[in-house]
Amino acid sequence: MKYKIVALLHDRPGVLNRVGGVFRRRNINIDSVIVVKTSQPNVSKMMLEVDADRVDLVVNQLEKLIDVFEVQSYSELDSEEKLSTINWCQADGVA
Amino acid sequence: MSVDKTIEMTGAQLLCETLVRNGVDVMFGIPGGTVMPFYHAMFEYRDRLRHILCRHEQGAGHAAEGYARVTGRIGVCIGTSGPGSTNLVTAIADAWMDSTPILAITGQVMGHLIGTDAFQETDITGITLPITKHNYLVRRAEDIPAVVTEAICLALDGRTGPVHVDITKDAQQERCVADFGVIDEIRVQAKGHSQASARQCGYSIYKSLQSHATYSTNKPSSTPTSPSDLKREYADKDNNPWSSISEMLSDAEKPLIMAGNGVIMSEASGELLELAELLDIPVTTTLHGLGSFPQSHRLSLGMPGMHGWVHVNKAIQECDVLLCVGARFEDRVTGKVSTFAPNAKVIHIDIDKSELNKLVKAAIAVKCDARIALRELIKASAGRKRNKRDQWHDKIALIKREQLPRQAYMNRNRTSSLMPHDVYDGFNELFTQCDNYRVVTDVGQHQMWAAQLIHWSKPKTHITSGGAGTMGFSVPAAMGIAVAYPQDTVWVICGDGGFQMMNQELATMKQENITNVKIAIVNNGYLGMVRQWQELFEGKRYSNTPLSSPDFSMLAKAYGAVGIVVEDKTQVAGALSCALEYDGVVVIDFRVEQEANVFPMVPQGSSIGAMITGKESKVMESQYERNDETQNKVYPKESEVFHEV
Repeated sequence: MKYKIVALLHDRPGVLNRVGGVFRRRNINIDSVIVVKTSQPNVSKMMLEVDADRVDLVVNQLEKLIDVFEVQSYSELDSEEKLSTINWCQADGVA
Repeated sequence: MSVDKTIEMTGAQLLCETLVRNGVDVMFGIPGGTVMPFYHAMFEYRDRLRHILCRHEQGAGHAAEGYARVTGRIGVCIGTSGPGSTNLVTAIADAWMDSTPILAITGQVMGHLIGTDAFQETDITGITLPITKHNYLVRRAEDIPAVVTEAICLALDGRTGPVHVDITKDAQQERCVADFGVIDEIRVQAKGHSQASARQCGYSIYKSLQSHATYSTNKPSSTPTSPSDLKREYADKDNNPWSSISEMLSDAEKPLIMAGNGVIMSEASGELLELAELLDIPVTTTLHGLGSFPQSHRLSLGMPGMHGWVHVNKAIQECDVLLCVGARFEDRVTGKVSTFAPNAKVIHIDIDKSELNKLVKAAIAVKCDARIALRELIKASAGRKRNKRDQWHDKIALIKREQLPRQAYMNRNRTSSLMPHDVYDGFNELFTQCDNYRVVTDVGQHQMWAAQLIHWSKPKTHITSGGAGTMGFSVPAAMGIAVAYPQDTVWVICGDGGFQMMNQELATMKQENITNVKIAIVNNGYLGMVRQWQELFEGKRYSNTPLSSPDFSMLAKAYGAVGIVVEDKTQVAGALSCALEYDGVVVIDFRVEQEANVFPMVPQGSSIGAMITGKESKVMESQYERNDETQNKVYPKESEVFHEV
């Protein structure tokens, strides 16, 4: 199933590696990814798309990373309305 | 402390001071080029920081693990850059799998040399990234107090585990003004977090401590975490799951409790006993849970899983409610997971949210510390009317009576003058007479025999490498335990294969005057567990499992220890008591029957309802399949080996 994952990250070296590793270990391909700065210092926002099963497990693992402040995932089954709340241009917040 | 703020120190001195202020008093390690400043400073602290000079960094890592496992405190191990740090990797991975709180400190080449393939440079933070709760590369002396303190707090909080701090040599050499205020600040926050939220929220607080650990000068002014992170999280979104769990347990006809390492780590054995007695529920303990529930108790069943007793696995397959506390449904416990506990509503309590609903779908999943959960359940269950369990107990007892005598070494088939179970009988006899004992097992057949046959009665007396299954773990881990508890006798039970992987630490014990380690080698001349699989499933093709060894008693002597060879059953008790009484390390070489097997056994990938109970037995048919996936076709290949039980 296709998922969109939005996360707030600590903006420092190596964080993308930590996050990417969680997907790599489970053999999940990251279809697309964007990382942008937010208005909060040292906080960046990442948005990525994957096509995988049990993304809940990945989200749980992401939440354990201390460089990840907040994670939100949206599946293609979510309502149009919910999906439309993901603002890919607005840098602040996970929704 | 205000005086300290004006003191200029090197990064290495800061490191020592930070460790001392965090309560560290013993470390295991080996010096090398990039940790030399640390070792230079350590010399000034030798009255407060005991350093045990190991012979191999992996040994240092396992020793730190052993220390942490029994004390619940942070175990510290040290290695230099390059090979020194990669040698620590196995121990870090082992700690990761078994949730052991260790701090690995490694040296790194000079900051300006990082990325240039300098001498002894390894991207060690890149390597330890997936096997640590977090890791740090420190390039500035002034970051050391905050990073190391945070690392220690992080390792010990929530689901404990390893944390790695890599420090460049120039950061250790650099002088800066010592600011230790940050240590107390972090510790207070961490402590407040632990108490206020009652260890129920993993380690999310550390996200708000980031500012201390960041290398950036641009520290965030406000904490980016929302307070909502700290609220209790229950997977069923029920704010009080305890009464519904208690109701489920009380109403169940065939309930079962499965206790794991979490019960031991949160020191909840008393609560477990109280709850089991209150609701009259039988208790099975996983490999790491052994000792959390006294096996002499009428409600104790023993270990489940691949080498669990038949009655335990049958009980799991039959139970209608399974309360799993502090265990994580590893494949060695569940067998083929789709067939695990098919009739049960599973209640899963774990401190790590990511373990909930990971492998086994839970009817109620609660993210909570084991002791708090058990206390809440006792409270919620007090005075509650419960179902009668007599039939359930009788049923399990009947299976136990029927099956136990059929299980290989229980019926005492003797093929040589010394069988492995003779050794374990000797230990059981010995442990009835002495109190202060710890047992560290390695990995393989002897480990499973120990888990099955020794009568575990107290928490933290059984220490083993469970998740990672690291051969060589036992000898150095025992050394760490012996340092933590010099008054205890630390028994190592290991195989001839595992012993040879880490026996160099005997030299460390000699140098450090560690005398309370006694090593029992269950020597069968094979890499026994692999040989067993080859025998059962690969037509006895013993490919590279026969193993020659040095004369262990002479090896012991060479290391300044005492060596004893035991070849007959009658010598077991004498050898063990002799080892116990001798003031020094003793290595007993038990030359046991070479081809004894561990039974019962669930072939890998099979349901735990399908067990091989002996060499001559057939796989017990599983009646528990809940889907029609064909049974594993590979095992057993030679069906004629087995006959109907």
